[in-house]
Amino acid sequence: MTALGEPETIEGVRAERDAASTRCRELESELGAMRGRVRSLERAMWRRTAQRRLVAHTVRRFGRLLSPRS
Amino acid sequence: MSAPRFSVVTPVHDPPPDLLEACIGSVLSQTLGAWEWCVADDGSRSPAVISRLRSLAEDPRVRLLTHERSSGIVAASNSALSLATGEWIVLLDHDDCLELHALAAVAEAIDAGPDIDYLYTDEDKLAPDGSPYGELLKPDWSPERLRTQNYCTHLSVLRRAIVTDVGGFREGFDGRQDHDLILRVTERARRVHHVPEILYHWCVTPGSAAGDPAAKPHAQALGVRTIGDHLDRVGIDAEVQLTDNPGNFRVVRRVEDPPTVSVIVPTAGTSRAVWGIDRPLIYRCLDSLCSVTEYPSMEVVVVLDPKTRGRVVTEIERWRRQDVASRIVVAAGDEFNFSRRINLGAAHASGELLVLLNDDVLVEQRDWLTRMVGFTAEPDVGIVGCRLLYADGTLQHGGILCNEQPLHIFHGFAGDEPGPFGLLQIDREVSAVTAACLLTPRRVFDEMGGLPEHFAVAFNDLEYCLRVRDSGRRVIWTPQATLFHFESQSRGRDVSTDEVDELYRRWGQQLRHDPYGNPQFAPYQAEWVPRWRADTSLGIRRRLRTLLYVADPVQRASELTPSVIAARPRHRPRRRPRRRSRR
Repeated sequence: MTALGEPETIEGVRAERDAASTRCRELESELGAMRGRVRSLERAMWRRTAQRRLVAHTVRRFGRLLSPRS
Repeated sequence: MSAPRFSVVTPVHDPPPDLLEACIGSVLSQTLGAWEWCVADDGSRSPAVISRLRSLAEDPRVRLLTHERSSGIVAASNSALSLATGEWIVLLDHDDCLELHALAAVAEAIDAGPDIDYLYTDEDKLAPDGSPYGELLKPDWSPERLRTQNYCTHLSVLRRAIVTDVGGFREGFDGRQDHDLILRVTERARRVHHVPEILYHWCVTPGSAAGDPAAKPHAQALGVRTIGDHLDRVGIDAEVQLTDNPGNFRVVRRVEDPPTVSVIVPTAGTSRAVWGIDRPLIYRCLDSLCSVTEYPSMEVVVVLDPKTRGRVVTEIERWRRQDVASRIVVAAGDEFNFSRRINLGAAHASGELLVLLNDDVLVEQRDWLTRMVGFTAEPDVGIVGCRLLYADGTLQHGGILCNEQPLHIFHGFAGDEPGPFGLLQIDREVSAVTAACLLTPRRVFDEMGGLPEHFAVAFNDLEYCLRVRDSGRRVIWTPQATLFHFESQSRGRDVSTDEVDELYRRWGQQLRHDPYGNPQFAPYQAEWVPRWRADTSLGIRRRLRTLLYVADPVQRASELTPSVIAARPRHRPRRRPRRRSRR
């Protein structure tokens, strides 16, 4: 390494680049694992959201039926 | 008296009395009358069970045979089989329930298809409180999946002549006897049919295989033997391996005489940053393909876009000089047409097998090609696809499901996501796979006239797969080969409305109803979601019906048939008198 923190040879540059790329890949994999988990949880929530919307819709319909203006 | 049409076969060995009662109720209440029930009591010790079976035997439709001592499920099942006189054998476990119209629905399907020799239906599980879960909504006949998972199981209805012909249940396969019998019968069946309706309920008890397949560890080892024997019979040279998911197996084909494979890679030399390094994707693809792949006879045909930068062309030329077996072809014309480039590459390829590969694919698995090639030894396999992952390891391709529209199964989930019933870990038939990595025999490719050139950018792979399937061949997706595909996760497909219109005009019916999906799936969902999970009102009705059914099946048999339920007026809450406001 030079005083500026850069490798002296092209092989050194390559090695450092590859190490950085490997680290980048590890981080992306961690991110991917979390993305996958989010996707899986979203899927679980999707059903509950659909149920909640249906209930809310039914309640609104009932509300309109029972309101004095109807 | 003429023989009944259906012989329900049930081996009994000390089931919980309440579940036996539910089982009895579900058979006695069948809406179809043409059945007999062949029961073999395998040395039950419970006085309640013995007494109930004795009273049951008073019914003229029930034939009871009693073993003094327990001799195992295979011997008991064969005893019950020996009592059968019907044309069809219906397999029922002593603690499970049939849907009340199960036999009627099966009879209707058989009437419509006189050449059917084996039939199976969808199934679910019932928790001890009677609530349904674990719905197994099955595909139509999927032989590759049956090799890796006994997905047919219940309700299985088999032509008795074939069951007799194959010798009934095999001794020594206790715990795996159903899978073994189904494999042997389907090897001889003229036609296998699927009724896409839940007609069978597994009642889960602690220690039962329904609750936990690992509860019967000996069945796993037997599974390897069962599938191994089947492979020997059908002439597939392969090794059967266990997977992490109990009940699922991996069939690894041996490739003794590897055919030449031509890998066709069209490229324009595009660059993209992958794992922090921005360089032309084709470099990474070719480097990994040639240095990682362990396959004795492979050539690479690179189809270059005329606009490819000179530096990239020089680099590819340098690479080619190291690999003399490979070729570089320059495509003509400015207009991009993926199909035309693949067809051009195929014209210059000499292999018996072709692999269509995108230039943004990276190989890290040494035996990926051998695993894929293994399937092509079977003449009815037209296409093999593999698992593709994004750079971050999430799933890009797990096969295509046509569910109103073509969808990538479990797209964006974790790469190691097993999926329901471990479906993303097993080989199985699918409607289509992506051409980002697709293996097809040369003869099939030529017979189909190559990739359809009227689809320049999108859907050419889909149409090719549908055409191959139309020709009676199978499209296999396998997780045994996993590659990286650096397709942008955020970019949508460059699809023109003309291409979409053309696709639906040609293949509308196939895109809406996938034989490897299920009509009970919620539409537009790529994760095999039952439609009652997406529609609450359906879900509540289903749960209520099953609860009532399990609570007292005999009592409610007459009033709970589906037609009665459908016709019954919906419950309307009484309107309460409106309260006066206090103000």
